[in-house]
Amino acid sequence: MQDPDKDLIAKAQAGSKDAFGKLVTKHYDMAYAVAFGVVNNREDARDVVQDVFIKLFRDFNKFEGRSKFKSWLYRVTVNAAIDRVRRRKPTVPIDGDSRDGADAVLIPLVDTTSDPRDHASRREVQKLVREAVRKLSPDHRAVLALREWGDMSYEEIADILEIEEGTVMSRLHYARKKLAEILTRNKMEQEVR
Amino acid sequence: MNMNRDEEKILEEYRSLLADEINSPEVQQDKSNFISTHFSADPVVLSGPFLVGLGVCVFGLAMLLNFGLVPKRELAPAQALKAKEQVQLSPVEAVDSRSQVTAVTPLEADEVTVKSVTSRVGPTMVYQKEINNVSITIVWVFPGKGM
Repeated sequence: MQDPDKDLIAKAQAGSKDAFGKLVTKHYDMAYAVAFGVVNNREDARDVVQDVFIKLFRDFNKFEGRSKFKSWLYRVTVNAAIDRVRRRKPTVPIDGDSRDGADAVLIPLVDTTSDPRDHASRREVQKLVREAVRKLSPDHRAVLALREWGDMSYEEIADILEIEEGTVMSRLHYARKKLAEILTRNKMEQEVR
Repeated sequence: MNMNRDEEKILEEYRSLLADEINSPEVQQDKSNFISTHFSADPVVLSGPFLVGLGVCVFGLAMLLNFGLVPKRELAPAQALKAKEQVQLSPVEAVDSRSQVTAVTPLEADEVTVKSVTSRVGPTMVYQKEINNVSITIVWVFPGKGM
């Protein structure tokens, strides 16, 4: 199948910054989502994605077009994000109730919703989801993000992560079950309190 | 892959978490700052159409010159120049021995008086001068005088 970005890729490989900028504009959000899904915090996700795009531009002539640009970008982004999580030094969580302390959850201080109760409830659920995601390994987070955000097939994910399709399915199954368990446990703990 | 309702609900929350994150003003601001800083539009000089236009112009000019379509200005031969008055040359002392070489007065010390010059070609003057029985042709060029 032909790469929908073929024309922009050709121009960018000829040295056009503008063409590469259009590729960045088109794929930034998806790459960011995948990076965020793995690193689970804004600052690292931004650094990962921006570093990746700068490196890709510098070495863009190395892109041979064997896979789609999107798949290539995801592969580089996911690997950079996993690497970032593994190299990250443990930090003390700011909310104090996290056990592993690998990722601090940043909660905005300003409430902009019209109904504070809805907002608080949603915030609470999102906080729980983030904490649950944090307890997964970077490899499981990567599969989850590519599947749930990138809406990719098992085959595509296997190609990006260079693993077997069966491994993709088992990691996805584990990640979903684990999230459900963690959230159920958290809910029950809250109800007891 | 079958999922129960709880799992579906959680994945829905997960997707919504990512969507909220991507659409947050800070993230979108980071994105536009990044793109405008590193990948803004190419300067006009480097763009393809400009280079093609420049190439066409240079090629066209080269072809015109090659086929003689642009008039060439050639220097008229020295004989065509006429000085109204005789050029006054001060004599140059002969160099008799090797030891005197270092004491020779530099050539530019010779006084040349040119009172009036006419020329068909304009801002150049060509005349001949004999020094030590050697005839040399001297060409004066007056920059900015009708070139």
